[in-house]
Amino acid sequence: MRIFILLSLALLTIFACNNDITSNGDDFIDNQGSVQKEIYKIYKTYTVRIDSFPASSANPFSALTTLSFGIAEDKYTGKVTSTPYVQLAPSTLTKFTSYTSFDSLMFHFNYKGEIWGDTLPLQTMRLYHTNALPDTRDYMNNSNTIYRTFYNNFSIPYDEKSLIGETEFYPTSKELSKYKFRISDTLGENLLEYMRLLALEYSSDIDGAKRKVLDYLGDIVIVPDPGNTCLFGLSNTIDSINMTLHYHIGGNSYQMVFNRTDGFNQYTFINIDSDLSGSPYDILETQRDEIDFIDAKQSDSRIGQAITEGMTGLMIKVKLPVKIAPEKYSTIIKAELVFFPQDETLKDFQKMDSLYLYKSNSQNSLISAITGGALSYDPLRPNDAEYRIDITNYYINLCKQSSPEEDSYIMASINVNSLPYSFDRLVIDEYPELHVYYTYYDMHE
Amino acid sequence: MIIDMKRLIYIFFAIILSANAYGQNNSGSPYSMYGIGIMPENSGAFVGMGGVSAAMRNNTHVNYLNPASYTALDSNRFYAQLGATGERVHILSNEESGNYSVAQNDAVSFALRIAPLWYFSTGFIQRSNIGYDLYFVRPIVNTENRYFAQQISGEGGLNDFYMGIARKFGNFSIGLNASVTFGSIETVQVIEAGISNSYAVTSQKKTSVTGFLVVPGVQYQKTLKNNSSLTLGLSGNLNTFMNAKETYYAYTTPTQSSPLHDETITRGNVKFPFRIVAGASYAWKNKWNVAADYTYQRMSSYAEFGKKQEFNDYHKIAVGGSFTPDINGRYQWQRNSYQMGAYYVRSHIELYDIKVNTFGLTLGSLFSVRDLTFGIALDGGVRGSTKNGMLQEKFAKLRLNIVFKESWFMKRKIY
Repeated sequence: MRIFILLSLALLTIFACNNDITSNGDDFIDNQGSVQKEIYKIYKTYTVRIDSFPASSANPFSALTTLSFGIAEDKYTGKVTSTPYVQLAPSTLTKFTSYTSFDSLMFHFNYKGEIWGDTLPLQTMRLYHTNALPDTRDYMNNSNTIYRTFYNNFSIPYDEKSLIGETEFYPTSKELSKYKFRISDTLGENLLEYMRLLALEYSSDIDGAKRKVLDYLGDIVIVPDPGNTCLFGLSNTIDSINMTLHYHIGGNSYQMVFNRTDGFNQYTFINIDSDLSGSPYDILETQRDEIDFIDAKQSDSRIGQAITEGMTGLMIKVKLPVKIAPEKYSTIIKAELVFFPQDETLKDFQKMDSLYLYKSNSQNSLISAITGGALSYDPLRPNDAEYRIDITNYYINLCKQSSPEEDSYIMASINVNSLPYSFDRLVIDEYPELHVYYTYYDMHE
Repeated sequence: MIIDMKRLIYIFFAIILSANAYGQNNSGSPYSMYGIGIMPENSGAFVGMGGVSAAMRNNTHVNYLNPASYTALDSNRFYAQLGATGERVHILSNEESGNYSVAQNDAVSFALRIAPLWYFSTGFIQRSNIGYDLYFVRPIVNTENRYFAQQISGEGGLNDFYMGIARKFGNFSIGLNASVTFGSIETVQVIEAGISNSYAVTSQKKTSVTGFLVVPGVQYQKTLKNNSSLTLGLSGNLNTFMNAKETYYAYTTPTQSSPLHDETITRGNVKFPFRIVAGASYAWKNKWNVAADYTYQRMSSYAEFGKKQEFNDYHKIAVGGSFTPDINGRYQWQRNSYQMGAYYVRSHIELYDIKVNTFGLTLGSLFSVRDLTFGIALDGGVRGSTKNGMLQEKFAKLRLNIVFKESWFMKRKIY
């Protein structure tokens, strides 16, 4: 009996030992695994132009928080003219109990975002109103009206006689931060009288009154003069763009504000005219057209050129090289798509903060968002800036497909939700690169 | 001879407990990553004498390394023997140094006579050890100032569960150990690049080995003049193929544990090569005993899944001696046995034209307290070299051997 007690105790003692075997050896034993970076230049790089994009408040994907206004001209992408259309309606309905006297009608807007182009010359803004509103109803869904989305190439005619105001200004952010100018007294007097009649007819139906005002005013069109030289953004919020009707009753002054009104906002949109004549991208007539990176080379380009730009709809399209059957016992642990901006673009245009990638196909469709990446650079070497975008999961899944051809097309662009009001751009004159890190982990040798 | 059921149950639990004790890391040497690992360089009942075994036989120890020796055991006793080692190693290369410690269970043996002239033994023996944990930092190919880390760790080894039998034929004793060899070799590799938001890759390989190994042994003892005796011994095994199954899989982390779908299961065998241990010992007047062994194993033919490994043949020479002042002396120190030994191993591993050899010196003592015999030995030595960027391990081992002999088969005389 004693023999087993002693033996068991001895065995338990050994069993309880906590062995520490962390040891050296890495300096003489070859490690078999490795991590390797491969850089693939993407020679299949093109510029394409999407023929239209949503540019109205009735956009199921994104609210139109900013309106673009003005004209910008550039040696690469020609001339862009942006004309916003807004609708304004009274926020309240006031009953006039006695005689009213018109004072003035003022138009207000607040600057938002950035200014692109030449900001030194004086800029001119004219206001028109359309005679009719477009039919915004698209279809009914469960008794709800689904409003039609207007695209950037949509417009509503107006004639010169419908001019209701004009102003000139120097396009500085300070000047435009809260800008206002006086518009047509005739319109103001008529509007005051119209509101007095509406107050009698629609005293308890503010929505009905708003519809009548929208029909009366039509869309307000904010038109740049053909001689304008810059583009900038206007805030599309309730407290930004508005018309204020000033009047007095007796010795007291009053005002009535016509602004963007929730529920009656489906008429706001931006018409963008992009004239590429004279630029290498003029040949892009349909969305299926594309111009090769080399064929778009400019005199100041290093190898070739491709460009993406807001408002013009230009986008950089790349076809990813796909390694369908990587070596056995190797796997992708990281994949990055790298774009190198052309230095010359810095002179007139600030590099945009972020670049976004979208899944595309051989017909240049814009299918879905993939991811985005920020501009990065060493402050001491700003010319070495790059957009390095992590596409690891997308690329791994792509390489797993048996036929990845159609999914290997990617569009690089500014955020597509910003296309109607952002003139951000990226010009590249070197081939984009696909950086893939492979881990080799074979343990069989 | 009858063994009662209670004792059988004790034996059963002792074996189960022994098997569990084999489940832990028992080596820390990077050299153990090759083949089946590091084979014990100094093991058995006579670790204080350099690990000699072939010609060693006495009634105090179960010399399981040569089954012929079982016939020297007392016929009326049940033997239980445990060998254990604690090891501290200083590991040194041209670039860095460190330490590791391990404790290991060398063997658990039981033995008894089962019939006149027939002896039986069973137990566990450690056949090889694997245990290492390496950490590499290497540059990422085609990058500047980008690195990846790779951790490779391994554990396992092979063990024998043996059952041996021996019989005496005059001056000759012949024995045979039949073993079930079992164990696994596990390797885990983690590769992680120093790049933000990249995947790490973990791959694991486990080779399970099971086989049947037969180790015969023979000893010849000749009584000489002046109360001295000479013993010659031989044991070994033939080429033995053991079943092996290699399971491999890999996955990425950390975003999610995604299998890489290149799992493989390979079935085949491991060739455990021919091995022979030959030795002689000379004893004089129960005071002096000197012995020497030579071990050879044709490791150059070692193969895994039909693929030969680039190993050299294994050679070991061990010499040892012991002195007992007076085995029937009045004082404990007189009855104690004092041992010395040395061994030299030219292992099967050769890297960068440098053979990984081991040299060790041993110093030990045996003393008995009633039915208990304690063997304590110090084993100090050097494995490997720092030449050609290699690694040297300086080890100090404390070897403990406990033998308990209990009289089970005494018949009471009634007067």
